[in-house]
Amino acid sequence: MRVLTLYARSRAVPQMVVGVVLVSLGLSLLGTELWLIAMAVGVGVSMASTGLGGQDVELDRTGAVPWPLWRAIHIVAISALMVAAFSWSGLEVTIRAAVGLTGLAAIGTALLGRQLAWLSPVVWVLITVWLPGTNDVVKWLIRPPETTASTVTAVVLGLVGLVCYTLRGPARV
Amino acid sequence: MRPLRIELRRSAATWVGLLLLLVSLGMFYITVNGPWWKTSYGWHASWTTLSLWVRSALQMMLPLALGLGAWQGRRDRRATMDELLATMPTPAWRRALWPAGAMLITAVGAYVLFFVVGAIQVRSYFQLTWLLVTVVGVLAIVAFVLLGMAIGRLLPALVTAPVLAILGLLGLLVMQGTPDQTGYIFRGAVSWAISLLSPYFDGPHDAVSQISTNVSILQTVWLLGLIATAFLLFIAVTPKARALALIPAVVGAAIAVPLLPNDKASVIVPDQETSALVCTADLPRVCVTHIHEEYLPRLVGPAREALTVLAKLPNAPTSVEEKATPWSYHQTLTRKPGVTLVDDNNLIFAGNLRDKIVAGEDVVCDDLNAMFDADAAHAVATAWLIGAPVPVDTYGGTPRKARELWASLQSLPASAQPARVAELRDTTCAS
Repeated sequence: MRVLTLYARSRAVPQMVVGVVLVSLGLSLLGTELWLIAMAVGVGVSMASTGLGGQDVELDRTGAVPWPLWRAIHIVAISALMVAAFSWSGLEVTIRAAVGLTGLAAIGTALLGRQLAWLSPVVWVLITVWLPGTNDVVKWLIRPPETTASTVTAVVLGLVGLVCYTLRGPARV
Repeated sequence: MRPLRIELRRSAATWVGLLLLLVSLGMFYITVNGPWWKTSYGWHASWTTLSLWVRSALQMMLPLALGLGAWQGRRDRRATMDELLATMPTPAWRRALWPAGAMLITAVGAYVLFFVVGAIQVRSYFQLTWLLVTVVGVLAIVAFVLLGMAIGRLLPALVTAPVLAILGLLGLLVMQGTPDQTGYIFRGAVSWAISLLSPYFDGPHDAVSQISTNVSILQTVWLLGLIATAFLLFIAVTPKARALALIPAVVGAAIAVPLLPNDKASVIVPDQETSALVCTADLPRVCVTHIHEEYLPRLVGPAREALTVLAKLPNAPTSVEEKATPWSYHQTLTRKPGVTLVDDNNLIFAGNLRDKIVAGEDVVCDDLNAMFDADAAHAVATAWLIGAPVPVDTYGGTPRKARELWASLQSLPASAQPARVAELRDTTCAS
């Protein structure tokens, strides 16, 4: 339990949870459009992604802790928190957005480190909002919930992110 | 100059520029080549069109510039260097010049390179309006990068950057909410004058209209104020200095907002040069816009055949002109007596140009059902005029509506039919 508390504190989890709740409260006032959910989960995941690495990546790695397990649990916990915080309009779309965007942030952390991990989810949200058309893969965030290709895209992103981050951990920058 | 070179080589500035260029150019190429923009005007049809299209890429650039600026702006605080640096004898503004300068060089470079990609492909019509539009675009990039850096320095948390990027996106979306955006979630959120404070403006994407010079100049004034505020905020250390930093932006807005036009017609104005009509010397008169001069020979034959067919109608049109209506004004089409208009897309792409002219002007409505009904009415009129047995060309899956109109037309006495056909041919969104 003590390890868990120390871990949560070192990754600024309490502050992050407060931030996510505030964002959720603010954006839920605007409406229930799919792209609004995408944007909300995008902010939430970006905030949470800053906790995907410690202050000193090298130092963290020397710890006698089963890191892959901790990392995997951390990713799953972020997805779960996103679903809990942002499911004000529909559970299916929020789960899809949470899984996919968390995966993107995890890929970003593995490649760019925790400070820039937000780039991948934010860029994908920008593309989703501005690109015209209805491509099920590119616009997976805002297609109707029963679209198979969109769900598959989200799951693939989620799994790739989970595997990358679990195996590699945050990039050393 | 040495510190600037070090900044460019060692800081994130170069990567920021590269990212801005790649993301916006990649996205732009997909957008402009997609089926949504199959129009007769290429994005590099003229210098003005090019500058407007490149500016529409600000939709991707501005949120990212804000976020990446914030990420860069917290650098000194992140490295807990700010107190040490504050003891330097150099004034704050000079210390801020190098990191800000490096960011601005690469970010503006990204915008300019994007423009160059189009400029080497541009076809014609060198007008100086492009310069003003591009200046507004460049100033917007400068303002947003500096604003990001200032906020990043003020709130040096890791989450500032992504939150700012998404807030920037939300801001751009809200600023799109002018009163004419039917069915948009933020419709009516801002008036036209306020919405023009947002430098991202989607359009006009044709070669016959442009943004009014007046608007561009006022946007320049406002953006210069915003840049001054952002830079002062970036170097400010005391709360008083931060409060004073807001003055230039407030003054800029106070000058621009009352003077900015409050209706769309004063924002998007016809381009007198490209939209001027070029006509045949002999009668019946057939005209195209200046920018489409090369298509006049293609139009003349089908247009005159169509006029012969249309002669059956009461008050039949006697000439054909290309529609030179500014972008997105399709709904408020003004009709000239004795003239039938042909759409620029039909002029260039349509296979059976004669039937397109006979069918009357294509209508574009916000309400899809109204649009399909108007299409059905046009198809029925065409069928009657060219003597086809059934409505020939119905889009939108409303053959039922077309059959109804056809049946009611056939039930009229023969003498009343031409008037009814003329009415059907003129059907617009409202009717």
